[in-house]
Amino acid sequence: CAYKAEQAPAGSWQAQQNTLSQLHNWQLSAKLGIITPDERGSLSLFWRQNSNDYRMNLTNVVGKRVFDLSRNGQNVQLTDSKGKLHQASNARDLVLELTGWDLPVEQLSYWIKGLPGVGDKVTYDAQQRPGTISAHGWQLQYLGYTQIDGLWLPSRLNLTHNDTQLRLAISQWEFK
Amino acid sequence: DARSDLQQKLASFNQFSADFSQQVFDEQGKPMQTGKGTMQLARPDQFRWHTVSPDESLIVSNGKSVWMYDPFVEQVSIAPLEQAIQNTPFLLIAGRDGKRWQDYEVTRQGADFIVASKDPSELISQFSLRFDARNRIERFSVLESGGQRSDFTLKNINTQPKVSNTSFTFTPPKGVMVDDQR
Repeated sequence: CAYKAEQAPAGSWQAQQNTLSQLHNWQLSAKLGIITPDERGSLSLFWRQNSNDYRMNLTNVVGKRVFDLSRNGQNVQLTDSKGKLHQASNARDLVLELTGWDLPVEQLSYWIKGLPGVGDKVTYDAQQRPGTISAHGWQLQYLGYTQIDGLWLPSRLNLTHNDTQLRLAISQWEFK
Repeated sequence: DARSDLQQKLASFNQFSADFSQQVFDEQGKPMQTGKGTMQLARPDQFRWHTVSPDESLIVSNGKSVWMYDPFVEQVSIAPLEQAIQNTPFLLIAGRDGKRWQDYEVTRQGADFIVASKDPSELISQFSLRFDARNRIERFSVLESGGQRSDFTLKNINTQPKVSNTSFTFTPPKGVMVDDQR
């Protein structure tokens, strides 16, 4: 899958911002740490994105499902650790209601690529890549990037909102 | 029968160590998470499960309590053994007494022993175990009711591992939060 970077210098962040926004079919493996005043833990995350649809599978360290969140068109579905199915139209509310964790699922689908949303407040690092983003009440800090197929992609990312802190360490990116 | 064969095979070694690689599959059999690490086990119920990649984590049981160390969030949780190993393969592989077996049906499918929970509501609906020619566990799988499956393949199996007095203990590093659930 080749990428064309228009006029901006090759490898520069602006050149790839366009590429990133057109990148709709990808999958990643990551560790997700969740820290709240009354809970600390981390889960292994597998995320497959196909345009607006996605499948997020979260397991514990021994490979047991914690929950499975998927979106097909407007239908958002969560299978919990007991195998019970729950449906809603908003993923963040569904996850919050069932697990107590605040996971900005819709925004994460672009934040996790290192792509700010429209209107997000962004500061850039020395290589002109997003360093921090603040939007929707969330503060993001990009702590590391890795270059894959010529694209800079985040490898470490922290998000905080009120007293919830999420930590993401992305170990594998794959593009379709 | 299959149950006594399995118990006999498990009883043929009291301790072993191995390198493991883990692969999680979704209900359509598509690969998802992977992992690698080392394990050591000594009956009854002492084990060390050290995941090294892609991220480090460590589970240590001294036979009474289980330490679950998660460096990513700088925390160790400590839980009583029975609570910690519920629904995990350690429940059967690490145990020595047969009492735990009553809650499970054991059947044989080719080289695999299938251990199915009698309690349908239990999430882990099936374990499977496969032994090599020298009666050592070379693979075990955890199948969940939703069809998600986690396969663990063991290599460099050593049935006389070096055991030190710290093999099955854990001392939290400085600064790590301790969540003691006992």
